[in-house]
Amino acid sequence: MILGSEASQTGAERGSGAVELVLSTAFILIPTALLLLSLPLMVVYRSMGDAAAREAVRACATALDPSTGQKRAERLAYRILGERGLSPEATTVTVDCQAAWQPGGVVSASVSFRVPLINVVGVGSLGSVTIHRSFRERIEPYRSWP
Amino acid sequence: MKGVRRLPVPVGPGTDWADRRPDGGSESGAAAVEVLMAMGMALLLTLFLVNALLMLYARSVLQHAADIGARNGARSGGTEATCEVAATEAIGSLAALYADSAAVDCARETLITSATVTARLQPVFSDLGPNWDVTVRATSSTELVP
Repeated sequence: MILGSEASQTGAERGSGAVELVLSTAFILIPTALLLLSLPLMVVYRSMGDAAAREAVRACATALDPSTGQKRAERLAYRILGERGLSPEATTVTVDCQAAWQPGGVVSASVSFRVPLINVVGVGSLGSVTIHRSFRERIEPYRSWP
Repeated sequence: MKGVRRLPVPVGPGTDWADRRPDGGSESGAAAVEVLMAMGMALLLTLFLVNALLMLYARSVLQHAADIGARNGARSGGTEATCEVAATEAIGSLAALYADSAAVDCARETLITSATVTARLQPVFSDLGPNWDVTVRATSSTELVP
């Protein structure tokens, strides 16, 4: 009787290794791989914010007057974020170009926007996180002023 | 123990362990096959991951090159040529593999200077993924001369 029971048990387990392999691939390996692939996108989002803040503050620092610099900086930041795939509605740009706009003054710009926490291209996204980047630049102290 | 005769242990053909299994089948070597299949699958997935991560890295390099090109072209005295040279040098030094397939196009206007880099990214393990046509743009504020 013992032998018969063992025999049926062994027969029922035949092929279980292949099933385990398929299941572990489907539920562990592939999700892990997709999760790993979504991590570098966070770096990409941060560099988007860096670029927008950096160029905005540069537009302010090189402008010929503070109000024009303010407008140019904001417009440029939205443009940079837009050309990298972020809609203006999802972004907030703050430029401080007026207060310290003088030779040697430090002007600043900050950019924040919400992006998916986990974003798998072609599959979908999960959660969201706010990216906040800022940049400061000293206005050239010896530049020629209009 | 006198008078007890020990039987010799059967060795040789016809004494397979498989013959002792009640169902007559053999699982010997099954674990090795499973391990090989699992490792093969994991290796394949790792190669996919490496491919994808390298392509993401290459895309970041192209974006960085476009940023550098736009910034160089936007400087006082900068031209479209300086923008293109700077971007091409950046691609050549950071992602020489794609230097031949990358095309840089710069446009310097009164207020903004933009750089566009297009390239066809080929996977390092060419059989494991499709090519990826990438276009990245960068914009910088053209330095005004009073």
